[in-house]
Amino acid sequence: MSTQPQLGVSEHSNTERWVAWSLMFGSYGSFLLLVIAGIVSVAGSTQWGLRLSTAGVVLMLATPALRLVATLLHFAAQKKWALALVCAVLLGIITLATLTGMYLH
Amino acid sequence: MSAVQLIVLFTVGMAAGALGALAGLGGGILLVPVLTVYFGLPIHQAIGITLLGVIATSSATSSVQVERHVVDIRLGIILELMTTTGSAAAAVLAGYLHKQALATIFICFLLFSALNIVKRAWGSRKQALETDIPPYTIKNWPGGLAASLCAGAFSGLLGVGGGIIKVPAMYLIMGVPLRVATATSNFTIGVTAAASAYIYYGRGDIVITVAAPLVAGVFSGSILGAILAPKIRTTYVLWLFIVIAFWMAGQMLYKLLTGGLAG
Repeated sequence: MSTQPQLGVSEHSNTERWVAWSLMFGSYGSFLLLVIAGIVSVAGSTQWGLRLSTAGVVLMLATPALRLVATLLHFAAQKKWALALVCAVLLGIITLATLTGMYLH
Repeated sequence: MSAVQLIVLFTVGMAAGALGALAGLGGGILLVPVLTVYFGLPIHQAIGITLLGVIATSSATSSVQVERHVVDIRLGIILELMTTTGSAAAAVLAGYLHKQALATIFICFLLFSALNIVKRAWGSRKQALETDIPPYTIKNWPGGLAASLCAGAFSGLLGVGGGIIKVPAMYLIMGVPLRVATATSNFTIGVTAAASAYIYYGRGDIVITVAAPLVAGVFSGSILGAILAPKIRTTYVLWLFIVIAFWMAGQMLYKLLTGGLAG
């Protein structure tokens, strides 16, 4: 089955916008936290620097999952159930990976 | 951590991110050897931290490529089913592999990637830039899905994006135009890396104090690389990438043979 991009089709553009926003929010937000963490650490507050660094790293780790949630919600709103199911399965795999990581700790 | 250490890590990350973005590859393939050879980090930690850098590169560049309509989102999420499965399974396996075995596999992959880039750099001398996306129909799904599983496994095992497998698979096996294949591969790399990064993070292999400045550097380097890309001749960047890749493979091999790799 072809999955040729339907360039210029409004519903396709909406999906793209949701995906782009979620990626931008996660990655730029994380970058901002990491830069502030670096400044705070150099200024002398090591504990706050570490807290902010951890928050930045966790947000960066969560960005792909955030993108999947945004895509899932958008496909579900459009009643594209097959694609929404694929996103749900991907979130399931990622959740399983997180639980495995916690178990291995 | 001192200000000098922070700046050094940020600069290294920025250089890797920019070079990766200019060469059309993730900077991850260079970060693992740099972290193990010059910063003395155990290879498992280097891979964990690099995966975070791969997520940063993918998120930064994909957000732009998605809005430029060059990413095939449907194809991407379907291939991610295989890449994430391979990546998570390989990340668990990596925990049980000895550092020397992992370093040997990494050196082989680095040399394979460098040789592939030699071929690409040679071919790019007279290659015309693909500006329009021609209509296409995806073929050979089983072949593409199998290649994606392999790419995911390499990502989880070695901390690389896996684009070096995914792009040719989409382009040559599935009939996707090169520009769409490259952008879609970059799009899928983030979720693929995340699946294994959660395992590395949970295992304690992502050291926050090293990862934070490095990832901030990779992120800004990726954006800088994306801005500079249209203004710089890719061929020169590819040759620079090749020289660094061979140098790093040699350095890593030397450390491996002399027992200098940190455990």
